Amino acid sequence: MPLSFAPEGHLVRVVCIRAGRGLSRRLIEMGIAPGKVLRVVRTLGAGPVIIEVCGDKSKSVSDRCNLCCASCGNRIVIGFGTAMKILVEEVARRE
Amino acid sequence: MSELSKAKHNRIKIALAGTPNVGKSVIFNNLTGGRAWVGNWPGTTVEKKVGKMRIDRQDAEVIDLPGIYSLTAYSLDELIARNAIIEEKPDVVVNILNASNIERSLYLTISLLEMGANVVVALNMIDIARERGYEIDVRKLRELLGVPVVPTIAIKGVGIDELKEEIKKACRGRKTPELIINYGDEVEREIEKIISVLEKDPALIKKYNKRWLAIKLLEKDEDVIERVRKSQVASMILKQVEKSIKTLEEALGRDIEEYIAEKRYEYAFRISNECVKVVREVPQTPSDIIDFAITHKVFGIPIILSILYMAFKFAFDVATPLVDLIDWFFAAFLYDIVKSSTLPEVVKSFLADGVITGIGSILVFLPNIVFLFIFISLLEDLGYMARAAFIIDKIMHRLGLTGKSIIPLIIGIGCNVPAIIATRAIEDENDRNVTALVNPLVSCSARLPVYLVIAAAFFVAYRGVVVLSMYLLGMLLAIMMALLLRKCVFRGPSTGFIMELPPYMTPLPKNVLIKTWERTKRFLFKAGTVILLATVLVWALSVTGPSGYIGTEALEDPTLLEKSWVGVIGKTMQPLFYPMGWDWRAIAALFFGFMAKEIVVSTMAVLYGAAGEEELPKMLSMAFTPLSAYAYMAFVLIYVPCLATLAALRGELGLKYAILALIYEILLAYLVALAIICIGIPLGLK
Amino acid sequence: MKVVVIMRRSAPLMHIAVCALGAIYLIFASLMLYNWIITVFFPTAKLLYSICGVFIPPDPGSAVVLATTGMLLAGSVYYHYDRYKFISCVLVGSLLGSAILVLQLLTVIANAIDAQILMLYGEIVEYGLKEEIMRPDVLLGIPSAIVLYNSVRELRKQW
Repeated sequence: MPLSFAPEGHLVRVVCIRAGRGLSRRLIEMGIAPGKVLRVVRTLGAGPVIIEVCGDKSKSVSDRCNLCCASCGNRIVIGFGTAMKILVEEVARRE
Repeated sequence: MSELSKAKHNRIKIALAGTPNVGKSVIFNNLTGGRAWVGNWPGTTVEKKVGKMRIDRQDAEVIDLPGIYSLTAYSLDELIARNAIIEEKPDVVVNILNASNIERSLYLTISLLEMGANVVVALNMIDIARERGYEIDVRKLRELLGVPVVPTIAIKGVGIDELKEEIKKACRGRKTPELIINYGDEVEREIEKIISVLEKDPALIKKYNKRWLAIKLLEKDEDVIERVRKSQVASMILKQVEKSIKTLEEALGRDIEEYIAEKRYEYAFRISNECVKVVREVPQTPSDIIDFAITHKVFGIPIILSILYMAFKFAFDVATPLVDLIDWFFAAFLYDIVKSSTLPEVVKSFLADGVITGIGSILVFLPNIVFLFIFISLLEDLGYMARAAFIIDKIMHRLGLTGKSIIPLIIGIGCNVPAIIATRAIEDENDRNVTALVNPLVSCSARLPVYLVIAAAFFVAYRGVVVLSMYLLGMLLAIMMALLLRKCVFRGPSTGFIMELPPYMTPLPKNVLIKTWERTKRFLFKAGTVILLATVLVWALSVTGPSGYIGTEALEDPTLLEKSWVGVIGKTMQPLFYPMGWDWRAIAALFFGFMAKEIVVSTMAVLYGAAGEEELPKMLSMAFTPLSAYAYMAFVLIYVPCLATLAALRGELGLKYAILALIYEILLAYLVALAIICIGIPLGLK
Repeated sequence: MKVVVIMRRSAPLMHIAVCALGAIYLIFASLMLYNWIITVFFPTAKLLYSICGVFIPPDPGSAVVLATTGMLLAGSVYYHYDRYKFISCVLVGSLLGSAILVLQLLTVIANAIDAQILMLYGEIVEYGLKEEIMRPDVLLGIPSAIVLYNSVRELRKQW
């Protein structure tokens, strides 16, 4: 599903990014690439998202992310249009 | 070579590079003592800040590069930073990292090291990192990067002396070993092949770091390709590059550019992993807690509206005493001094009626503008703006814009010029163009004098509502035009935006004041030159006419005034505005308002023979009706962006779009004014 | 129905007090809005000038701020089960309430200074100090500031 529809508080993993060269590159530099795990911090329904980049260890993601998210501080706002281009899948249930 | 130019050539140059929100400006101020010269990077409208710092009894130049995330050729800011490092060859590049977000900052560090820059790292905001519950192994970081690393808390001045020491040491001798990231055997092989071709041109190798060139060529970096084209062996190089890219994309099965970026990011991540230790688990930072309410689905927008109202209240109500003080100073104090002096009549009139009246009626609004800018700068430094962009994004999307567009539109309430320059931060070209073109419709503070004067003359009781209605009208029109432009002229899906969300930080008074001052400086500059010249011009055109010099009595005597140039201009254009019922003086004022909208008030003051803000409303009530006055206000809101704004539009969008703005605004203004009259008359609102 | 359930389940004093304060804010906000609508659209109708000594200025902007503050404070009860969400609403709400208090006080001071300056012109301006201070934004701002202080202390304690 596109990132803008991801439910709040959940962890998701990036499946693919449907964007042009410039945008993909920008996203990768921010740490958003296929395989990376993100936490959806805030979402206003189908719209822009605030996410937190958590790294890419897929094993024992839940405990690692508890630590990492707490001290990462990697908060990013992603506008509606861009969020629609990032496809993600759910990883684990949180909150 | 003369001693002076020799000294200039040998002058030490230091560049400051870092991601946005990392504390670069604070460190810049710490190193240069806040003394900066602000200009533009050649050929662009991007601001260039340069300061001075003392090293070994010599003055060193400190250049503040734009905030960037990497050194690609995709964004103007990044290109500027890159070219600055290549062309100006700074002796030291101070890379400022955000300790609480090392990964992201390290990407830039690695890019800088790959370029071969002489880097000194300032690890800033370690207090925030500590608050988040983790410690950074500075020694390990130094080891892994191969460059000096100085932990700092720039805001408190901690670590600055050590930083200066390291910068001095770095200037004396270059110690940075080349950073080599292993991109994998296949890629490394191709890099070697490209390097061997590059080596055939010794000039190329001398100017640039060869490994960096090779990697950038593989990344299809357009700027580097252009530079390589200038070489004698260009065709050989480019052929090899093409072959390499093809080989690699087949071998790896994916886009080589993405692969390289990813490898770089992995490297940054690995370094950060080795150096950052989680010491204490922290549930949620205060910023997150506050953010819950601020970015709330229901509360978000009312909060924005509340803050907007408070901004206005602060900028207008609290600033009133200063406004009245300035008004008294110019319209009463200085005016009387000049008028009762023994200078010749013409000079007296020139000074009193021209210069003092004109300048006074503009500076009167300076306090309002300064207070507004203070509030906006406060919000920016606080970190609120990013949240506002997030909340607004969805609504903006329906207009075909992005949330980032809201920031220039808010700044536009202060002055359109910095607002248009702020649109540069919007990545999508279409969004950027529309936001910039629509910006002049946002009521800037220059138009406020006109509203206030007219409102004081005709709508005393409803003053607030009337002025507010102008702002709302402007917003409404801006929305309409944005939709229109987006659907018809700038078609294409909106790319959306990505923005880092900085944690809330207490704004430092010093930084807020410096920001406000820089923005106000622009306004003052405009007032000091354009408006002064224009006012004098208006005065001159009022006391002379086709028949020669008329005399300063013209300013008191309307019949004489009609014979002046101003009168001629006004009368000529009057028929155009017949349905609106504006007299030639109002029209002449509009004409001069083209230079700067503040001029409309000062021109009217001169033309209607008013001695200050107090008298003008009285004079106006004799020349307009409430309806025609309202239509006039609307016209002033919409018609033609002022000269300075046009210049900004031309700088950001190009001449074609600047002219487009000019044309559409005049037409829109005329239509709206006409509409107001047409709606008003049948409703009996004479 | 839902509100009653919530309050029965867990109703520490703070929750109720904050909610009540929020409700008062909302009431005054609507009164101010009512007055404003009358002044703009029905200039001849009578204004609700004051209630129990508290003047009600027809100020729509202020009404918006008060309404937002009221919403946040009263709405915080909705999140009584989550400590962080509750504190967030209370914090931001009381922050807004205190901010408008400060702003209004600044305006009063500015007006006072302004009156002095206008005397240079030979103009005597009268201004109603009582009316400027006995306003909802000022009076309610005081309990708001207290709430703000307490919530910030709460926040610091556990962090």
